Amino acid sequence: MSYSKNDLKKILVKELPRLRRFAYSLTGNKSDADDLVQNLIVKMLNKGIPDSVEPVPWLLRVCKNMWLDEIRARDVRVRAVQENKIPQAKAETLEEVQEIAYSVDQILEVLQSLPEEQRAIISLVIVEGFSYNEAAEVLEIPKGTVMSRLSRARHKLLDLLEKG
Amino acid sequence: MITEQDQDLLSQYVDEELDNEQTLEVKRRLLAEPEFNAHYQKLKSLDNSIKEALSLEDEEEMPEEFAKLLELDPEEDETSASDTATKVSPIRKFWYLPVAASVAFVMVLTTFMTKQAPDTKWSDIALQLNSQPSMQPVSMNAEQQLVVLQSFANQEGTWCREFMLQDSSDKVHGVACNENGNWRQVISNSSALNTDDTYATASSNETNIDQFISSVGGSPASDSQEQELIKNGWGN
Repeated sequence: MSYSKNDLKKILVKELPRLRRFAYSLTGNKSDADDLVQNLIVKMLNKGIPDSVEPVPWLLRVCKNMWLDEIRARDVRVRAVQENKIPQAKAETLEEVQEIAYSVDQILEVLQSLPEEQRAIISLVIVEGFSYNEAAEVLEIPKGTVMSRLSRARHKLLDLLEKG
Repeated sequence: MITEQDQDLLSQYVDEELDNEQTLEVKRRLLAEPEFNAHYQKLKSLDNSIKEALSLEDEEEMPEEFAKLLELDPEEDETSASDTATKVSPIRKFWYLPVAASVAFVMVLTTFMTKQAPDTKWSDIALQLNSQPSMQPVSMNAEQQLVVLQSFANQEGTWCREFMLQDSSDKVHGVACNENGNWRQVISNSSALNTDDTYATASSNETNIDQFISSVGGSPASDSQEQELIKNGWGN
């Protein structure tokens, strides 16, 4: 037996903040994120969630797939990080390193240079606190791939932020 | 030079995905290798900045268009809703903790020789063990510096902390456990520092401490768990 409409709505209401954060990490802007979540809600209310799956990983997975479909349809390309737009963060000593705090604009800028899959991993592990196993379940990839993609993503982000 | 392997290791360390042994090794390297530590600090700063950047100020608010879509149907059978409530379990958190050797804690305590840390009073160390987060060095006096390496629960559920007290020529490496609100040193070893001022690795003394921890340790505390323990007085 599948979830009733009201059950689905309760799940969606409970998970809405997480879904919106996840969508924001994928889309890079709040308006697209809310459009994506709204489409997700409509789809879930129409098609439902299979009874045999954990709702949260399922919702996140569908959300990610819907966004990939959306950008393919729009033929939107991930924009490259514009040179010289990111102020350089200098760190000569350990003490200075500890005080580094990148601005929101810097981070959003460099995040856009990553592929959607890496942004999704960052969102799940760093923002939502998922374990590698849980992120692997959502994204349907091996745990080792989560680990390596996340490490590469962090390295690339630091590189871009430091090069400025 | 930070290698790709080090990057992967620190990335997993930040995400608390390493096992006990790997975690401890990383902690020791963080103390001994400034470049390794600097990269770790960068990763932490990056993660904090990402969390901040991807948070939504209004994330707890329900946009109007969502509220309309998600309005409950009052005519729907209430019983089915309550049935489903039991299905919606949060994602299970996976904890992979190695099973420690089945040596009784009390027996182990009597087996190991304990030595008292020099110069600094134990009460001063105990004070820091109560309140100092792991991996944050604190000066005990003009010469000595204390670093708590990790916190872990032994098999009886008592919280213990591994620490290092060092000055320019000596170091004391030990473990203390919190018993009824008091920190009691249960094992320690002292040794001269290497001439290059880095901690000795894999010496027989270090092995003793490692053996001790693996024989009594069961559950290492995460950073957030440790913060909570410090705040709440280590469960006392």
